[in-house]
Amino acid sequence: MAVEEPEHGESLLRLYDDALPRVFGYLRNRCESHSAAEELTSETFLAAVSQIRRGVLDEVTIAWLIGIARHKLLDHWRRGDSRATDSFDPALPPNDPALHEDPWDAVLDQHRVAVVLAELGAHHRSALTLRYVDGLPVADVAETLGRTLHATEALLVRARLAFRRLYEGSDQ
Amino acid sequence: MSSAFDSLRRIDLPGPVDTRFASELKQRVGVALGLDDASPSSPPPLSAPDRSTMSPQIVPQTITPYLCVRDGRAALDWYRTYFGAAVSNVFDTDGKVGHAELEFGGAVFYLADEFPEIGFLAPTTVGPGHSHLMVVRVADIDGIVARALQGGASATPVAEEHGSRNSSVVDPYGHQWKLGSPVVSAVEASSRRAPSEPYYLTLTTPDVERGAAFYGAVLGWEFSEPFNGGRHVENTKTPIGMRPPVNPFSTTAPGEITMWWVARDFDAAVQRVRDAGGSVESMNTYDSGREAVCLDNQGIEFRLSEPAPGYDVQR
Repeated sequence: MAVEEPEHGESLLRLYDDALPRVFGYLRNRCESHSAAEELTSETFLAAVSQIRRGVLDEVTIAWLIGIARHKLLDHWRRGDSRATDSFDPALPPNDPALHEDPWDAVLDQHRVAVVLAELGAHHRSALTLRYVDGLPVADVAETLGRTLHATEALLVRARLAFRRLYEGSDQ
Repeated sequence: MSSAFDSLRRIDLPGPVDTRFASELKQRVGVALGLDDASPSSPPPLSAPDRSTMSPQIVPQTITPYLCVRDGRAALDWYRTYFGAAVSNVFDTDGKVGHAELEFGGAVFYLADEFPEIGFLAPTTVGPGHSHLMVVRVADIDGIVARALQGGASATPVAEEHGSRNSSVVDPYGHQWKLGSPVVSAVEASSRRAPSEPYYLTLTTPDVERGAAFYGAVLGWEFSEPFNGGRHVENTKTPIGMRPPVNPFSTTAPGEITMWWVARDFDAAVQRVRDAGGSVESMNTYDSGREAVCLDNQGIEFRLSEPAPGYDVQR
């Protein structure tokens, strides 16, 4: 049985005033509404408490809290995605033409970026958000999504294509 | 490959967190941890704005100016510091601000660095002259102009025109603004003041001891020890006194009730008495504060009080 670390609880409370605006800021910039961001912020801190209680933690940091927030955000999108999303992207064969996308060096209108991201299926939106909005390396995206590296690369290829198709469509 | 995607990178500014949400969640976290002595949170650090004044809800705005600046990051700081703008949704594009949102004066503005490849250029690049200026109503024109000048903006002196006190401001990023606060007329201003509350009243009774016995029995008043021939009632919300017809300060008729009304802007209130057709008979200073004995425009006496520190509390 895991031993609860009382110091971690105290650390979380000490860190709270600094961490809260960071966690909330992260979620608010990716959420459709202020209230959804508050809801996910609450879920994040309460999930942090239960991780502390399970005693599976080395250190209480803001980065760790943002990591939890990231998972809460992905769950939120999954819950809100009414389409039966393709939650499993099979890896593309190495000679699939999709792997050789044209480089896309358009200047993107950031306002439309947000709209297009929100229109994508949850799995595409999640992959693009982690990789490009959050700037995570592909390996970290794979770990966060619980996929293999290769499956994640394929997912990103599809997500980029889907994004570009929607974005260029929305231009007209 | 897919370099356009690199411009999705987002820089996350902290907050803005609602202070009540912050302290309630802290409480929940403390309880969940079994550390329920968690004190309510102090307001979050940094510039987390109060939601009641900045309205995070989408403003019903059908046109949004998109400002182009050189050095977007510094510009965001400037607008935050000197215009009091709330900054949100800052996107990074190749180390430049690709998009950001400012809220100030009840309006939303977008802002980005220059993108010469699409002809998006800052006024400081384009050169002198303005194709437009932004007219924004602000709460405190004098304060904002003073701050903007400190921040290196140029501004015309605040002057009244069209029912508004305005200044033309050019900020250090070359954008031109016409900022103004509506002129509040004296009549409007006086109707907007909080109404005066009772400060103190005295009841004149021929025999204070008999009066105290009677009103104590009938109204439940509790009285202080006698002083200056009278007594204070000690257990009512509005302080009350019972006095004899003659005390060291004045003479009143038996049965007369004398009212004091709170006037926090004492000198202005005294002036308003005269402006409204009343008169000021005398001004006195007591431990409890300044007093003006006044007659209204029909000759009835009333008194204004400026409570001294420590006397300013209703029980």
